[in-house]
Amino acid sequence: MKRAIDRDPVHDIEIEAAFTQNMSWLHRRLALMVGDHDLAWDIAQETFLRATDNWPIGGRDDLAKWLVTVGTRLCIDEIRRRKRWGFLPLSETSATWALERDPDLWHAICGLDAVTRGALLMTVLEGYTQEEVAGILGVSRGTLASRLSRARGRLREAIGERQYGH
Amino acid sequence: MDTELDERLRSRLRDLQASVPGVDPARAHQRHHRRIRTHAIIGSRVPVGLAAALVVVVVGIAAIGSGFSRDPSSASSLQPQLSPAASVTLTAAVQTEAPVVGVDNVQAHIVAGIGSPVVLSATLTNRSGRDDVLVGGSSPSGKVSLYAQCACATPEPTDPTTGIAGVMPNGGLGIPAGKSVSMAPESLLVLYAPAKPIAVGSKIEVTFRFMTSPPATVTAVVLDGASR
Repeated sequence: MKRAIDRDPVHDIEIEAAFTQNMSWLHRRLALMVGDHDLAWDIAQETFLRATDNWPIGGRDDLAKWLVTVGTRLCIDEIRRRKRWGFLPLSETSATWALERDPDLWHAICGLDAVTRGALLMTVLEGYTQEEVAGILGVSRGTLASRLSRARGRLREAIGERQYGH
Repeated sequence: MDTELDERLRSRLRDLQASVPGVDPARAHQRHHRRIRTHAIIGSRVPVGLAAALVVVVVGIAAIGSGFSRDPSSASSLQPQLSPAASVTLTAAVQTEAPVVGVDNVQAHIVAGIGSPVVLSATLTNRSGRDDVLVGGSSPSGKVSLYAQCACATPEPTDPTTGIAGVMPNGGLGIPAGKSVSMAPESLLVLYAPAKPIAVGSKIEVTFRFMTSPPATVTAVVLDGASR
């Protein structure tokens, strides 16, 4: 592994620029996965540390995809870990920012398991195909398709009952 | 129907995303640099919590196993002593290797595209105990990105970056724990924008990059695309 201390100084400058450019949206994006925005920040930082170890990572689009892929996987791992060990559980009510903005949508998202939530966000927000997401998250295409279909059904009800806004 | 729903969802999710409280940029940089420094010292591959827990468990077992016995040769010694076997176990636990993904059967072929790109495929064997993802690659010979064969549209689209027909960028290829995954024919690494022209028969060095396992560097002989 190429440790941070051994890096090329040019890479340091590139990483610094990439951090400034991408950290804000990545943090917000991962907050949709875990709810707790402080935890999302920690995971976004961890994602950047992994990026630092794997630098350089292609062009701007490649980096954005890489960050979302790795960040989503880390969020899924974190949600599973907290569920498995039973301490510091992630509560949907801790995301006050989401409850204030769009409570119906947030409750519906929180009702999805971690993998389905990640897959839904990747397909809807980043435009990944189901084949791509199945490969990234390590589930079969058929399983993912049926999970996403069920998830869309639940979300359709949630966002159908209430119009956007307050 | 789903497209319409996706449009509405996308709009509301983006709005929700925009409402996440921001972090003060100066504080964010400070926190990030502190974490980078810590990372540089201990490295990210060492699961510190796990290693510490292992040490505690092994020491505890060793202490119980060997007993806090008094050394008969020294009447004043009441110090707990680890048995040699327990010491070996302790060393082994601390020196546990990081998860590794093996890269075998590497195939590299020049294909038609912008600047004669090279497509690579391989068999990836995940020897670690946890799932991993191939997320891309790198090479001193040019840029490397992960692509997937596109089996959806007719006529096949041409990727604007590489000029290769029928492929599209791929976010990652899952490699389940303990399993082997053959990249061909669905996934491939594409080496494009070469630093200098790559000839058939020349050797290229390519590093396969994974989400959690250390990167693996291989050398491959470039073959003609016709032999794919």
